[in-house]
Amino acid sequence: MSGFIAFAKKEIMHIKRDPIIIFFCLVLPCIQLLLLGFAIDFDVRHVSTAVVDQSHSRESRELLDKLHNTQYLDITSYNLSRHEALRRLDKSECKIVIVIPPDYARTLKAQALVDGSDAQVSQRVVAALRNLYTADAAQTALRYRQLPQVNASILYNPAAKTNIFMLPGLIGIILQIITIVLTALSIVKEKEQGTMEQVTVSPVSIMGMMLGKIMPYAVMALCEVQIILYVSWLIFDLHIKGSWLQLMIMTIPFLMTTLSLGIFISTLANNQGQAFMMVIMIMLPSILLSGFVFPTENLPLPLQMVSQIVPVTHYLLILRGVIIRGVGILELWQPTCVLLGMAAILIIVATQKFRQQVV
Amino acid sequence: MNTRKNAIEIRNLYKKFGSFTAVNDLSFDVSQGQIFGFLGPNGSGKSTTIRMLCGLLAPSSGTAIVNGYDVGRQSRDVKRSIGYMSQAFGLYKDLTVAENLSFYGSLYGLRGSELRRRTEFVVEVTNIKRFLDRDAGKLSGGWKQRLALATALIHDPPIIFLDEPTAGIDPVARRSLWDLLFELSGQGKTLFVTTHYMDEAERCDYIAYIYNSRLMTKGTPRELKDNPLVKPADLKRFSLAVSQPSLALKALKEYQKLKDATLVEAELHLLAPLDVSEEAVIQFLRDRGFSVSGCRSIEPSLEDVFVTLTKEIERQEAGK
Repeated sequence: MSGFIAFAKKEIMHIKRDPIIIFFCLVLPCIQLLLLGFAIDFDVRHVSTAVVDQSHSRESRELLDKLHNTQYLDITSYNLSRHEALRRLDKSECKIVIVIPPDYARTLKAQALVDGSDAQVSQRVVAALRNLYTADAAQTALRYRQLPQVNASILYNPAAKTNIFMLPGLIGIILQIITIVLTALSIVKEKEQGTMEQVTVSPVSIMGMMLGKIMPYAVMALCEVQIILYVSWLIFDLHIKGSWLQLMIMTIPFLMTTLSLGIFISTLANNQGQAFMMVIMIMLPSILLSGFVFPTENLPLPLQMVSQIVPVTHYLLILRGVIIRGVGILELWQPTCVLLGMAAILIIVATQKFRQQVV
Repeated sequence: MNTRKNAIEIRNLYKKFGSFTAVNDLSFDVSQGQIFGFLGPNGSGKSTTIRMLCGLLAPSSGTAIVNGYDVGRQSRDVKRSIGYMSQAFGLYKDLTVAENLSFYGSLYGLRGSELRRRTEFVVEVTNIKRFLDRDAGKLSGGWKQRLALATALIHDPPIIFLDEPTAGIDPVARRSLWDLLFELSGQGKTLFVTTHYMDEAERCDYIAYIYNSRLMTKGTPRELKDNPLVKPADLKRFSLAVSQPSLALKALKEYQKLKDATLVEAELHLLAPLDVSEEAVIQFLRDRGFSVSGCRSIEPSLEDVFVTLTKEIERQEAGK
């Protein structure tokens, strides 16, 4: 392990002296967080909606007007049978079915069936339906004596019943970008500068050198998680339902996989440009196939299999589990074990490759 | 009898990469305190040999003993015994001179007062004190090389490898770096230097020249110049001071009896059989309108040595 402390100290000096790294680590994630957090608001408009109106009353027509005016919903077909409406929902021809029961004029209780597979959409719709009469509550209550209610049930993906679904996932994505990019670049830079050659003629051990180089980035990544959690709480009111400590512990195997991926890339790339290309190649499946944006259940089977070998996929289960559902290691031992296994394999492969290229 | 201890002993060293033999049956010794010039064209196997001697690459067969340690089996001890200064500036540009020194020192396990003492020493030797707080990337070429040498010396190694240490630096810096190398050699350090500059080769105590993965020749500069192939008994070397020397060189192509003609410092250097008189050559040139102002007999240069020997090898191989 000789050289570990020397390398860790030196790496910290590099970081302190490079304003771009500091920007990359502290400011960029916050910008991404804000963009993503607010982008959800902008995206959801005009969701195609089918209506099953069994009431055909003045009240039901008023409700439909109200729904239409929110602009969240685009009512594409009226007067369907319940069966036909559900069939369209199944085939994804519409995302929402509004069912107004025959006794609506009396009960003022309607039902909305929401396709939950597109998590952002379903959350916004649910929120919109809940707040349908918030703005003119007093007035409406005066007219109807009680507030009409549209009770939403989310189909297919009930776990999406959360206020903010994307933010925990973003932690995984940002962590991955930061750790892979920084470790890969910091090692490739040594190759480019010729310092790698100078270092390898010294009796320093390869393990010590590698660990010394990645440890500062691992620590930085853990700080990163705190920043993202804090900003998410501050701006989007995201609370960790489960145990913070468990989340941090289960984050470590994920970090081991991404850091070893960084090392692995650095052994393949000869310069920083190449390293960056490879990072992008890893990032694309991580964003698209991990369940970060699209639920993995909706992917075609071959892609589902690919998504299983993407580390972020498993880490997202942990993040969402602990932060949103508040579960712990008892429920999440499976993704944790998968990550540990991946970490073990990647560490062995990466150190092997690293040793080969140095010697 | 060689009473001095050998710093490096190489016996029948081979390195093969697949079917390609990068180093082919190399054997030579480097004695302690010597400035050893390791020469040869690019791609001849120099770098591979140095990588083996530094303990980075295990030999395919044969042995190399550096400071008493076998490079194949005791690479950690070999690495402790050597300093390495490469042509590529192997230092951290965003760290200061002092930080570079202390980082490399700590790689060799130096710390605390010992690190301070060694740092002071190498700073003193390389005279780099006034730049201690400057970023290494902002040093001029010559000072970068001095810093590289300082880091190579930080752990007080008995043997230092210098891979083209003066590539791309100005003549004054080059001279002062060589003065420093002589000083280190005087203190008993063994310096293993590669270079493409012939004037630097002249400054070495001993030279090995490799060509196509094999040792072509070795010896002191004196011995090399006395090589019978280079200085055949039936040929003589002389130089002529001529007006318009490059045109004269061209004109001499027609003078069939000359073995070799080249231009050095605006003079013609000629290699001719003993029965060709200087006067005949001078007359030949005067007949073609050149004025000849001087003539003297000369020694072969190291360049002559390597050119002649390379041609000889190529001739032999073409004959096979």
